[in-house]
Amino acid sequence: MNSNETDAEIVKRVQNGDNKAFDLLVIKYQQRVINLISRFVSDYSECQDIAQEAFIKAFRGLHNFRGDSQFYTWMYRIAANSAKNYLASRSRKVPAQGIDAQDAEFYDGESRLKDKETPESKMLTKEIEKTVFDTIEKLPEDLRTAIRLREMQGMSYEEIAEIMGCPIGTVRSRIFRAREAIDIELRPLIE
Amino acid sequence: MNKNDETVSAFIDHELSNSEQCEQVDLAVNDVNYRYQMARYQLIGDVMRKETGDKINTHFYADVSAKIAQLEPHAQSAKATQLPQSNSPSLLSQWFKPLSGLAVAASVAWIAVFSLQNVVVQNGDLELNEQIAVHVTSPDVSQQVEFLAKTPVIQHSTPVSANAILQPGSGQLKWQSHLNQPVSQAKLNSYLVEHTEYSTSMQGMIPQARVAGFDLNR
Repeated sequence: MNSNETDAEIVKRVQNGDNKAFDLLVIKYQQRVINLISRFVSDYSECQDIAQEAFIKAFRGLHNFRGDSQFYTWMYRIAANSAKNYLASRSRKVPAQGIDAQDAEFYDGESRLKDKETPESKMLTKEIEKTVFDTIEKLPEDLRTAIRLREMQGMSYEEIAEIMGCPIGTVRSRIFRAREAIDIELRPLIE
Repeated sequence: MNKNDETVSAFIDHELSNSEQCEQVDLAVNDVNYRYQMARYQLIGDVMRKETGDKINTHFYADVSAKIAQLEPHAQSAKATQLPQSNSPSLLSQWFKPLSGLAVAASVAWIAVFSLQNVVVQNGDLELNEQIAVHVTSPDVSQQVEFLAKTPVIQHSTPVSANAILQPGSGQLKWQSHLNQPVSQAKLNSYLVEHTEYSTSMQGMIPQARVAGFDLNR
């Protein structure tokens, strides 16, 4: 079952009332949606807020989704429209107070005035990135190669098996072991 | 490590068979720890591809899930209003108006035809009845209305008082004597005119029925 077929199966379950199934779509597409919105909106925190709203709109409208297109295509449109609506609403807002002329060149609307990133969240992000890459570097070569081919090259298990000269089952095991090793290091940071 | 965790890893890569994939969807939907594990595996890939941006929100999907749970009763009611109505009530409501209109039109037509059949046909009248039939069936509504308005349906009638009593053995129907009265004739004429006007366009309208005859003894 490929990615689209799995999405269709999950969508069907949500339409039948199994709302928890929608979490699987959020987990799968959250980063892509955030990255899409970041093309329109510079503030990354705002991107995440808009992305959350987009997913909620998608959930509300899912009973109207007929499956004519893939779920992500439909989600893409919702996310893009959400970003555009956000920009449109921002352009209509007038600042509550006047801005001094000398500060005007630094004024970028609300994104500058409201800084949602705290030093702790920035540090956590750096820490997570460092942990992932450091752990990968420490992995045995076969595990490191397998997970890099999968995550960074987007290859299927079959393609990786052909490149590495091993059975598909071995590829599956190697990728899992690599993820598990990284996950063990990540869990204390995330939970 | 165990087989189940390895299956989670293969599940997010869509490398399972159809039945296994469906099975994992079932497990994921019913197990919050399964979903957390999925989210962490997904994060590993996002970090490796440098797609995470300036700030990683490790609780993104949990936040969305919580918001959906808050609006869930409303979403359920919204979905409920979208559900199709059962077939029999909608069929009934769809067909009620046209059927009732047809029933009224049929009864009106029956009364009109029955009345016309009992008109005494004389030489001139026969020709007149044919003219009436032609004009009633002509597609031009205004022509029909004009013709019927000017032409009395019953000609060569002798005015009879309102208290006329049916003569035994006269062979005349009681209501026929009432029809001979000018008041009744005027009523019948206007009724036929209006029926023709309404019957040509029944869409959305229920033709108004008028009783052309009456019985004094009732």
